[in-house]
Amino acid sequence: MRILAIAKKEAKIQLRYRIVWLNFALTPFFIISPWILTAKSFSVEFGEAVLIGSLMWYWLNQYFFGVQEAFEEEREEGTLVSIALSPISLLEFLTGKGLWMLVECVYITAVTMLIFWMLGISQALSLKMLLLYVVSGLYMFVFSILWGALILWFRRIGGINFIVQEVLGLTSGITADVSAYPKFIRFAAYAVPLTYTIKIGRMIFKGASLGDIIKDLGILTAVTIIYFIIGALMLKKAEQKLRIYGEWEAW
Amino acid sequence: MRFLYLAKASLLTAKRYKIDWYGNVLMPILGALPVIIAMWFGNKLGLLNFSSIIGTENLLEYYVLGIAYWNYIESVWSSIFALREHMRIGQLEELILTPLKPWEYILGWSFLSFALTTVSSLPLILIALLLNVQHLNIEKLILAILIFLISLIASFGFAFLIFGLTLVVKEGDEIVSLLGNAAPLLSGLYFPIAILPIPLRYLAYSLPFTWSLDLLRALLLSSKTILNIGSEIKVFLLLSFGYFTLGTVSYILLERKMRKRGIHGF
Repeated sequence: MRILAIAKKEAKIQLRYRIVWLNFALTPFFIISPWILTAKSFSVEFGEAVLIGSLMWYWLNQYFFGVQEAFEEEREEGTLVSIALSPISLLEFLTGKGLWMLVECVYITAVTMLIFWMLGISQALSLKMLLLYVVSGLYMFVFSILWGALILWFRRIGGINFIVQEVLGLTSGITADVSAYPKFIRFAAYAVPLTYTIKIGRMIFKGASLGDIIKDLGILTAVTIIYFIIGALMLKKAEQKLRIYGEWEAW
Repeated sequence: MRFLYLAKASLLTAKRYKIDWYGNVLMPILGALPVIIAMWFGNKLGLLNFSSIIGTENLLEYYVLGIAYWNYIESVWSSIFALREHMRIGQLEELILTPLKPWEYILGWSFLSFALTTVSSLPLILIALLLNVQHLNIEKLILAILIFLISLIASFGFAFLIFGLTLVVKEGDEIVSLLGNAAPLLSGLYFPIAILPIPLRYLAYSLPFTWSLDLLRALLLSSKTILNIGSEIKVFLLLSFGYFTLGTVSYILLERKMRKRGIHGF
């Protein structure tokens, strides 16, 4: 229930700021549409593939910013130490924030899909695909715990958040198929969970069955769990370090 | 020259947090990379030659010029983030009480971003110009510089408008974020606006940056234009000075309104 209390607090704060929601509604479209429109100029099918990839990347984008702000904003406002003193673990704290981010991301994805549908851009906008984006987003949240731990550990690493996201997105093939990449990039691509969610999403869009995707789904789950374990351990370690050195509010 | 004190303060803070520099410098370049990779992949599949769409064979220069130009336009808007940060940390009232004028805040806070953009973009611009030296002459170069400077005036108009709005609705950073993400697409940073769906194309026509970018590429790379160059210059001048006037007048009115109502930081 403590996790729900955090999610509720986030909801109340976010609902207070209306322009944020306008930004949520329109910004994703403006960010990803150049990729989709470029791909669509080549072929409709390529445009669909890029739309699936970019919507999945956007979940990673939101979660990475979300877990970063979860720590940075509290630190900036001087309330991070209060969280440290509360009877809640940092993992629960991030999960509570993540629960609210799920609502935000569903809103973002649904509105973005609606805008593309209104412009007659894509077929990859069914309810089934929305569910797929949500499931892929949950994997992205688990993956983003590692980023949250790095933020707590290195403090100002948030300055390269967007770079990290872009590199992860490009490596995972948001606007291409990773099989066309040079060998060394492909090697890196298969270490990123987003690569598998995009691949599976595109396969399902083309009508693949559970049997066709089971192998990739298994690898995706295994890779994500590994990142989660590393992230959770780093989070714990960073917390211990902050408690020992008393650096909760050090900026 | 009081704005230089603000610029110095920004520089000292930025020196303290060096990692942010990499983010600021690389962000626009990384923003265009997914489009470039999509084109690379599309060409690899042999689907289409994209140069027929953008109107020039010089793809690299086309993007480099667009990115470098956009970095400067957004530099001016970065001042809004500084204003928002001062609101968040409870310093807005003190700022409003200082003898600084709004344009000094905008200039002072965007100075660092401007300097960083120059450092990061100048090599890109020089490469683009050198690769196209055969298309260049002194008249074209002077006209391009004038268009660039006038489009900065238009950018100031937007900054004034958002500055005033931030005092009223607080969430100026969200407005800048939305505008900063929408304008590159609508202004043809990634490809000519002819490729956009029709409703977006009309929005694009209403932005001065659409015309300035199209003119700059036409002058420096001899790419296709939306209208003829003479007509484009007229539309561009009208929009640029129109937005500047709208921005300054709206700021004066919004600030007056907020001073009467009482300014609250957050």
